[in-house]
Amino acid sequence: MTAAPGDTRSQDRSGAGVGGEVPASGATTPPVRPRRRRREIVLLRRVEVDSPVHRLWAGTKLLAVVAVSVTVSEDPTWAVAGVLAVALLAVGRLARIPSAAVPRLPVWVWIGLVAFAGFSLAAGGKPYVHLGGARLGLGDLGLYALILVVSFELLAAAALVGWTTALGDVGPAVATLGRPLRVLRLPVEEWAVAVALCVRSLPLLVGEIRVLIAARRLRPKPSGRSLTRLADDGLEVLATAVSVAVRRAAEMGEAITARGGVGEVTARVAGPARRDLVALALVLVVCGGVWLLPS
Amino acid sequence: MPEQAGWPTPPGGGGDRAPTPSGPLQPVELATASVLAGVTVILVLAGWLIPHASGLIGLAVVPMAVVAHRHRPRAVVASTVAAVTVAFLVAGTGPVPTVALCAAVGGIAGQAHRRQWRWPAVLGAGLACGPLFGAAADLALVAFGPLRRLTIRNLRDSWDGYARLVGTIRPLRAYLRPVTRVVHSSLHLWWALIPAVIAVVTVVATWTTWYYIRGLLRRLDRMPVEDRLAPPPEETTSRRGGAHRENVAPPGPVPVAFEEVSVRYPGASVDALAGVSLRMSPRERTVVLGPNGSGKSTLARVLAGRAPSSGRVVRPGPVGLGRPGGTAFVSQQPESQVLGVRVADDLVWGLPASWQVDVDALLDTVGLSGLAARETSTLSGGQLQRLALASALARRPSLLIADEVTAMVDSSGREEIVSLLARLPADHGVSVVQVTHRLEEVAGADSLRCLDSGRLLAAPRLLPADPAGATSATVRSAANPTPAAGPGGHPGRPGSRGGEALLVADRVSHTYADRTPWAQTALRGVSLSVRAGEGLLVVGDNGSGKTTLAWVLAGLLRPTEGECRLRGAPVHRQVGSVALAFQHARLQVQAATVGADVRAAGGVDRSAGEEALTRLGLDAELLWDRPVDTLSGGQLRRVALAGLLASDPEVLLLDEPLAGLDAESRDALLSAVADLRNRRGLTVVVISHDSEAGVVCDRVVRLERGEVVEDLPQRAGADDPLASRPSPTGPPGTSIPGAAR
Repeated sequence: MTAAPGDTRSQDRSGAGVGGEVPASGATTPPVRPRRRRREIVLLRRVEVDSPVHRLWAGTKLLAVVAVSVTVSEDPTWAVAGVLAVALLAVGRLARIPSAAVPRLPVWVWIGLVAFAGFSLAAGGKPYVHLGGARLGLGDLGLYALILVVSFELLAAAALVGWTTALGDVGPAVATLGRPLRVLRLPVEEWAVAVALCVRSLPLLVGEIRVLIAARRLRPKPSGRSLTRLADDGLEVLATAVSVAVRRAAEMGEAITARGGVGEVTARVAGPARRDLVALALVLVVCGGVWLLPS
Repeated sequence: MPEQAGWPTPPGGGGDRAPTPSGPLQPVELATASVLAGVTVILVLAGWLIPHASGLIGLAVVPMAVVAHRHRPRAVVASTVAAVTVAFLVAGTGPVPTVALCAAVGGIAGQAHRRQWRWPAVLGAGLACGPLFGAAADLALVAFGPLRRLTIRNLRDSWDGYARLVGTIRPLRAYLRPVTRVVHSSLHLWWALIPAVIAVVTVVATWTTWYYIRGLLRRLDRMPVEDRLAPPPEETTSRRGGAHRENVAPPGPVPVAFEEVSVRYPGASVDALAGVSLRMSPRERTVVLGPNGSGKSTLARVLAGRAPSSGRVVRPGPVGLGRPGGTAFVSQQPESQVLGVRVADDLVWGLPASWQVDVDALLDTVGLSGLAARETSTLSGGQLQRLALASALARRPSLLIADEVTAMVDSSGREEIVSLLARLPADHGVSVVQVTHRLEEVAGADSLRCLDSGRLLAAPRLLPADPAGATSATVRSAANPTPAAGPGGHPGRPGSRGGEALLVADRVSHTYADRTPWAQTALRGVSLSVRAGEGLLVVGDNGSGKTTLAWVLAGLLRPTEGECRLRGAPVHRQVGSVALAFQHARLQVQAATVGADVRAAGGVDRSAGEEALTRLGLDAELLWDRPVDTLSGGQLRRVALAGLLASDPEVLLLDEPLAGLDAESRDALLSAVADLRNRRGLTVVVISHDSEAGVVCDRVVRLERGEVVEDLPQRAGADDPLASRPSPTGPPGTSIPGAAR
């Protein structure tokens, strides 16, 4: 999901702009300085490099995230968090993820986190540290930090999948992973197609919602802001979004009919290969190994 | 409630009001489940990421309720799985329980409307499911015991610290103690409290959703949505279940003969197609020409296998829509018909696994060489349409139906697509039926059919009096008074070249996702000034950055470098002073009825709203109470414009105002804009991929790759760079080689 309103598929090309018939005011103003602003949060975009992690089957990576989540939930200790941090950093390094890919959290998140840390600190208690004569009870600040680290690790694990996996591979991977469920006569193939189509429609939906909100901003602000007014506004925007989505779905439905119904959803028939076995074994060794660590 | 009154509908009804299907999900069900799952995911994640938007999570029940209302529970399950999987992909396990709960609540509420439950039944369903969900939560919390213990201890700790801080204010201390006791015991009783909260939330949310969603569902019910490609029943049985099975007769869509074919859509009072008889031979390119509403799309759909209401269609074998060797259908919406996530995925989408596709050769044919691994969401409209054609060719069809495939594409893309279609009969042995409203696409066709009001015109005449061309000329002369004649007569509009600079873009550059690996530069140092009363046309191909420029000029997007000013003040501080009409007008017309929308968009009363509608050539009386979902594309765009004009903007920006409109709607829109410029001296900026809309402008700026490469006055003289372009419908009386038949 990126934040592009419409056509922005320009090729990279360097060179300064040609002003054409520029206004005279351009000559008198000081040179433009790039405005510092927060980095946009980009979700679900692959970092287009080749790496062993990129070459892994999507299902392997999904399983790895599940394994990491279970391990850390069952044994949330500093030892485990440490091992996982090292492992995640190693995978990120191996996948050649640039640090610029990591989304910067908005300021309010940091304020909230610091506030909670303050509360933990205020509770006091052991262990104590001595700062120039003053005694400060850290209390359960350590626990709080541990929970934070674990949460970030879980997010990072999911993000690593997004950064290294082509979204088109996710649907088929779901179909393969869900194959055992077919014994229960569950329509796994159908679900896989739904996942693939959902992934396909996400960028379109995000673009539409951005236009919706922009169109809303262009309107004059209604006088008197109340909670019901806000709720009505929200419902109206949502009703439009849903109506547009239903229409889009009808068009997509026709397109599916025009393809003769549901069949293949991906061209590259990717499945687990030997490297996936190796990767899974590694994940299991790390996740299993941490149980043996002293907590 | 009138909803669902006609369910099941009479035969031929098609769509989601047809008798409830059984077995695997139908295409429309699958698409609705997937797309609305996407809406759910976006709402939940936005609620998570944006602090003051957590209310959005509550709204995430709505999309799933819509799925449940329109389709079978099977579709709701598929939708839930898709939403949970995609949410997991974006943010890991965190949002998964929320998405699942929203899906369940929405599913129950929608199902209640589908089955027309009364309130006790809804309450009962909530009461039955609430404890179940609570129990599920308990199970999960027990399973992940260690993390749960850690979290609870931490919450308790944070509260104690908070209480101690607040407790330093002495008068508050007495009140804190009981609260602390409650917090402690609640955390202690997590196993009872959390399921209880979830159960209560489920009951309340189910009931409120059910209650409040009624209006929305009724609004959506008015929307004519049906799968107009739905195959006739005899083919349905073979296609479902074992799609592409061996025992299906080989497709034989051509040669085809129509015998007195008529089609009337359910609920319509006139035939969309009335007594059409024609023959089409193999390996020919047939062009079907006609304005919007002439029945040409219906004709295309009957060719693709839709059963006519009366008359007969004779073919040697089944239509085989989408089957190898059968019929392929490409429609006008570039984004909706590309189903694959990557280019190569789209080529094989829906094909049987055994069918071999030479991806690279196909992409070469349509001019998309080397793009096999590109994500389809990064392609331009023209590229998407060529991909759709490649996907059609991947089936080696005998018949290819192209329904208005060039409507949403810029002029260079249009030429490529038309020449590609012209090559197909000879190069690939495909019969091509090309449905269009553009006369210039007729050239070189083996046969031409003209449709008007559902009837085949006896001899393919070329649009009799060409009213469109005539109006265009009027528009041109009305909008561009010669400098000598001057604009005079209205205050506030100075001469077209000498006015003050009203809207100024000063060395504007913009990069999306700046400083990330996905950075994409859309504008590079664009400087531009729009004078009061001026009409400016910004032209550029897809990807030239013109839409970004429109957003920047309207103040909706702050560029990464440079600034945009309106009367000297940054325009992003005065959003609304520069009105922007988006290409997708349905997104801008947000209220339930036309009148309500114009009033809200303009912030005006009824009389001013009606005046705005009238000024755009719409019948205000007739349209005022019309639900917006029943409007045509051209009407929608003019209603959106009316709302913007009612707000009395200083500058009006139009983004692709003509895309997808037929000649008649185009002229209505252009003459309305020309009139506004003349009478009110409105400053207008038109942003478009072609110069058709230039007739209302007196200056042209060309954008290429985010840079201004040309800035010229537009004059109706010999040196007019646009004068040589063909008018929308071509000059009257053009002779078309090979079209006389």
